[in-house]
Amino acid sequence: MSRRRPRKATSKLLGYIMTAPAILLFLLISVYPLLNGIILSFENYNPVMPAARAFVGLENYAKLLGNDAEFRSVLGFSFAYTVSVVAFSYIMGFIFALMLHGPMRGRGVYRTLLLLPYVVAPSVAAVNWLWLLNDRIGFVNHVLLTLHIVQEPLLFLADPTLAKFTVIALGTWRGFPFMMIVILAGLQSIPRELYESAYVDGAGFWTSLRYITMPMIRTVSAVCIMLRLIWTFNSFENIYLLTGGGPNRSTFVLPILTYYTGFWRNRISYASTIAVFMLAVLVVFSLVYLRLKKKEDI
Amino acid sequence: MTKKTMKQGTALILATLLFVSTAACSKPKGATGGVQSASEPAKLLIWEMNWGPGEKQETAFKKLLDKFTGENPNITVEHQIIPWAGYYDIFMTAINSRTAPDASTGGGAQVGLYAKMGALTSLEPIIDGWKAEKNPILDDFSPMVTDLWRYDGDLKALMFGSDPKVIIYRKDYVEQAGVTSVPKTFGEFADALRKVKAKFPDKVPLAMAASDSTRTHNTMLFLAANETGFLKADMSPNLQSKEAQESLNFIKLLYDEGLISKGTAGYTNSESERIFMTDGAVYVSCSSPGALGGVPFFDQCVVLPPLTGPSATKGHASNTPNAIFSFSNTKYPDQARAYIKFFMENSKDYFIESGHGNYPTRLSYYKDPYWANSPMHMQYFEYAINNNLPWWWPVPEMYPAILNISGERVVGDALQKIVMGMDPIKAAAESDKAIQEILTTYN
Repeated sequence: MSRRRPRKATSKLLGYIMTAPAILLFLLISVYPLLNGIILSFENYNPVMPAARAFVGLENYAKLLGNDAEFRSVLGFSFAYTVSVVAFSYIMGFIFALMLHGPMRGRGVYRTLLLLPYVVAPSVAAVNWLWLLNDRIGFVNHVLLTLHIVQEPLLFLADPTLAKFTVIALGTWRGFPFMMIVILAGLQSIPRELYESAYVDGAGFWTSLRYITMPMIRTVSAVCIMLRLIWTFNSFENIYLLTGGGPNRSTFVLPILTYYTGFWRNRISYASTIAVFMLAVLVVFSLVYLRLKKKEDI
Repeated sequence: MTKKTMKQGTALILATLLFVSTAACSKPKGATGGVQSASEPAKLLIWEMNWGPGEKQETAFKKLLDKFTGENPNITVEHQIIPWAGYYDIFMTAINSRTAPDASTGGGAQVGLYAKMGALTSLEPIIDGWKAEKNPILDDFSPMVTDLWRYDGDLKALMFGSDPKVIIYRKDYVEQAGVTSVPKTFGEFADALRKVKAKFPDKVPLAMAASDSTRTHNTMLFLAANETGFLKADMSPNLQSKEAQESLNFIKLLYDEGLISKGTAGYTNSESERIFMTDGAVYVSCSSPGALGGVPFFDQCVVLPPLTGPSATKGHASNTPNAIFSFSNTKYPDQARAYIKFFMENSKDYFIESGHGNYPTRLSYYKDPYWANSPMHMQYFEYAINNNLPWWWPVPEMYPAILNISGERVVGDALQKIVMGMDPIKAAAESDKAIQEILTTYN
């Protein structure tokens, strides 16, 4: 026993030494920026005027939550965008997962095709959608006009209200394949015997859906919804590449506002305050996610 | 020594090496070193903005650098082509972390801010060198090249290129529409567009972008035509002035009469160009021969001379001058200046071979067949290079806030709102307020 202790201690020390580079890297690239961002939110740092940097306490938070009309407006749309995209993505993902779960020829091909929106690069998707939605040369308006569904081209990206619906629709388009794959995995884990027993008892499609499918995929659904909420709330590129936040800033979401505030307006501290606010929202989402995950693991 | 001990020892050594190498890699490039002679060994990091088609520009720029290092064997060069997307944060991060390159090209609006931050080194020795050499190059520059970015008497950047904003049109369609003379005023231009619309109802008379940064250039195009700017010379906001309102009201007229597309507010520049290039428009604003080079009707494309607005004695093109500068964190200021001097003296082939989006500021270059034999290039030269106002005119000196004004697109916001149906007075008032807020921040 007396000979084993020093060896154990040495081994423990070696473990610390071995993991030290990884821990240092983690602290450097993850924890330090996070802490620095939080500290910045209590200052008035502007990179153009570094000499004027000072601690301002809760001033930025008071302004953000008190009288920043732009922030309130953007926050409202951010939540509306996030909830809409996640809800529509879930519904679409669920429908396609159900279709792919049933017996069908060429399932692999359909699955691959339906995954495309998720794997295509955001910049490529944005450029293509810009052209597809153009009022003069766009395919979508061409079809709508040819079928006499509309009399005038729809201004998908030039009308502030329509632009909001457009970015939600395209967010849904990008987001539903993830939902589909996760729900499909959930569906495939439901024992077939349950459906067979229900069938014997006279249950039809809707009854099975309500009393077997939905309860059985509840946890997996909750997890993918929470993940999607986090990713969508935090998403920058989908909207920025498509509309740049316009027209007339009607499609600004919090990540775009943070970017504008930090870089174009040089108000790094105020941008950090917005980012910390976003972090708080995301922490809430994450806690819910972890709770659900724990439940799923049990 | 057991096998396990050997493994642990090796792992320990590797971990130590990793740590040490990480620390070595993170060593900062270093603050300003002592001034060294250009003949002393140096390794320069050069940034070049993405001014042309990727591979074409890369090859041509590499050729220029090879020539430079060939003539300066003690200097080695590493270069990066920097994309415009996210350029603001790339530069600001580099400046604040003192890892900016030794020299770089960039948008003219960048210079004022970087100069205020003390991030640029003096280029005065280059001018002194040319004077000492009695170099005729000083007489070969278009106006402003050596004076545009002078702060407290110190030159911080040289203007290497111009990117004037003009309107290009299809000569064949315009003639078919019965437009017999080139429009010179806002009124004549509106008449020409009306004729085009009547003759070609399926085409957009004027394709124009108001979604991306081009909305600022389009606003400036019509302001410069009326000899006015978004600021007065005393740096007070000017979009509600009579002259600016005449320009903005003209844009409103274009929108109300359907002479521009109803979807203009959502168009990026590449979209408005695409409409023109796919035969969907007769006039297009803020395009360039480089962008239109591949269209089958290129020989029918003509540059419209700058219009003259109601309050102008003579209309002008709006110009976006672009700059080359050196950052003050360089360890090799003399070598960096040597590179900039070389660039200004020897960039003709680079302009030609890279598909460069700028027009050179060296007037003698335009005698080269590349420009001289191209009708559209020479129209640019005659109408725009020789007759333009920098987009921040009439403010005499580039000021730091302009980069934010440009980045936030607050000038172009007025145009975007007008092509969404807003009254020009209200749109101008909102933009003036936003501009004043930015100016106040800097004061």
